[in-house]
Amino acid sequence: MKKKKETYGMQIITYYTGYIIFIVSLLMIIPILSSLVFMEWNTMLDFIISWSIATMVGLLMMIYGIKAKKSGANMQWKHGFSIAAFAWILLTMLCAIPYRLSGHTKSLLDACFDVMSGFTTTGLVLTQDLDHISVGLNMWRHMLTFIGGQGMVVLALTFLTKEIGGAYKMYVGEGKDIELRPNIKGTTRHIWKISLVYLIIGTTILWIAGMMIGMQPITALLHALYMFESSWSTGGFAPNSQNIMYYHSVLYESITMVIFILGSLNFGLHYAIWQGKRKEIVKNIETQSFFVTSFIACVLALAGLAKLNVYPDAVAGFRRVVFNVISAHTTTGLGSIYARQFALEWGDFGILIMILVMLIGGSACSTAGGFKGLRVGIVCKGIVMDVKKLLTSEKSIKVYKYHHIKDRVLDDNVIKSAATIICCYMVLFTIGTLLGTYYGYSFADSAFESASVTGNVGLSIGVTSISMPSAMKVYYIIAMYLGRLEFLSVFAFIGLIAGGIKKVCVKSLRHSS
Amino acid sequence: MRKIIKTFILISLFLAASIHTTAEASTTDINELIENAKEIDGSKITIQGEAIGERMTRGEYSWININDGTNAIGIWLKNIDADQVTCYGNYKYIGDTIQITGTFYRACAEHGGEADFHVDSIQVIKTGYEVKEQIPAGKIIISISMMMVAALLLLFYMKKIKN
Amino acid sequence: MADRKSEIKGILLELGLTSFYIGLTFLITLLIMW
Repeated sequence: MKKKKETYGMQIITYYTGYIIFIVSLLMIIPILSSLVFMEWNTMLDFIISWSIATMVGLLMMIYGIKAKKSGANMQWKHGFSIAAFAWILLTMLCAIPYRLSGHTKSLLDACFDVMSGFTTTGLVLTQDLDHISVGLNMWRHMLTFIGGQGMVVLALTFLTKEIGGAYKMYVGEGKDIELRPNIKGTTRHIWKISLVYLIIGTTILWIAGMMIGMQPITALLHALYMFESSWSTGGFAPNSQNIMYYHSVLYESITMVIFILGSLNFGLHYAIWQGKRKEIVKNIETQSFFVTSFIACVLALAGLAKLNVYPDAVAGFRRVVFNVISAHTTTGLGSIYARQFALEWGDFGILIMILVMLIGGSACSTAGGFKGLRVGIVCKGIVMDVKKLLTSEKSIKVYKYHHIKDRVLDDNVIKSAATIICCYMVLFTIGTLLGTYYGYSFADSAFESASVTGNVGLSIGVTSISMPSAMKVYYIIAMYLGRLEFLSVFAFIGLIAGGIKKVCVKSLRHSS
Repeated sequence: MRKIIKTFILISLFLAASIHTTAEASTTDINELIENAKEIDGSKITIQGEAIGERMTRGEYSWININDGTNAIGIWLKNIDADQVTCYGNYKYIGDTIQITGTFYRACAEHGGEADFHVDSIQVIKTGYEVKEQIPAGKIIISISMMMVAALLLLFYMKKIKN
Repeated sequence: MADRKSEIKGILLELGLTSFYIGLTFLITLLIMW
């Protein structure tokens, strides 16, 4: 009996991973069409080849696991988590094929780095010669962050024809747990609705702004689309090598700031506000947490940099300090100064502020990364709660609460879960810093880059480059991945594989004895 | 007679050499500007790079972004000067290579603290050109055959699902 | 219809509040860097 369950386990995972791959690879139609319109034949063929490969992989996996779907086997949490984790790994490799074929990446590792950077909405770039990249490939890069921000599993679940028991489990495996509707399909559809409505509004505003600052209509539209996708997803990619400095425009910077702040907010929060619960925006623990931490960070950074006389006036202070601090805090990663200028001009105090906000990150169940404001808020309130408990009489039993979409109880379990995940992020951050210093980068540089990777931010102080040691590239890929999926699904997946390997070893030992 | 010819040759060589050197003033890499921003801030310098993207006209001045392989930076120049640049780099084109002399600002007060370059004089060194796309025949064959295999696999899957 | 209205109001509120917050940060910048 046990044997049958295990086989179905493999097949469940294979089938649904294949399904996710099949759906996501359909997106390659968009760059194919873009390249067709702009007559970029090489790029078009690159994507046709990549699409064929990805579709074949997805279909083969679905064919292998088809028994599981037909028998309607039960999907457990470990399966759901593993599907999310496994799909992300395979998609990273498959979506790197067009990059590799384009010749803009020096190796397959660099291509996978850029894809993982896109999926996790980090925004660190190893792709070379961005200023001569094709429309098709630029379309793909920015789309990857847009899809990754929502989630590949979320995308695939949107197309499910009938509700399957494991849908919620796969959804949670991708790092979200907010339920907008009673069923998962409704939730994922609403997440997409929110993103697509803002896509139309944001792209239109940026398009108009682009033409106002001197761009031609067609390029203004393309840039508007790219920069919207990059901002909303808190990704941080840009179609040119100078990032947002290409535009030389406070208008463009301000609009993207609005977009990336909104993108870093919890989808549940957007949904609640759209439903009419407008008070939520002030009552919610995450908006309160973000407001407090980002405001203090801006003030401190401005004060510290004013002391060093880095920028000449308030406009510069706003465009170079506030923009970058909020870009870091929302884990976007759009940068209004050159990477090396952080290292050479900001000083240790400024760098430290940046590291702290990059680690704190944005809201849970959003496109942002980092510890998440929810956890920071919970832990802080937990400390206040503990202090209050000490001060009040032992006879009174008070229930402490916090507000996140609805009133929730602040108990030890909630605080423990929040603190545990924060610890995991800290470990990830520390290893990254250690690795950087081991390879000779300065402490500040290593810590900054590690925080950027851990929080899926994407600002660079100059460490990320094609000449970076491969071990660091590999570690950064793993760290971006773990940070985005919030550890549990990846641990579950590894555990499942380890358990499977152990069983195989035990079996072969039994047979040989 | 000989003396006159010798002098004439020397003067011509001298003129040729001096024209040669004015055409190639010592240029700084853009990356060097950023690495040594504090020292170079506000000084007159010459840089050279490819014009990329597009020109953005703002009133009587324009922004052009140039990339010299080490990094890219925005240059701020009068419209008349900007008119000299006709080809901009992207996927299909290599843009005009221009050499510009002007002032580098680490945190330009006029432009909200941006690291930029204000142009005094501009010279188009090399005109840009279209990059003709070369499609390897193998790629076309591979892409068509792969599409067919994928389509067959899809039909196979749909059959299996129906059973 | 009421649904659509509340969604539009929600979007305007979000855009408005975010812009307000950014305006606030600009004010604080003026204060600090004056």
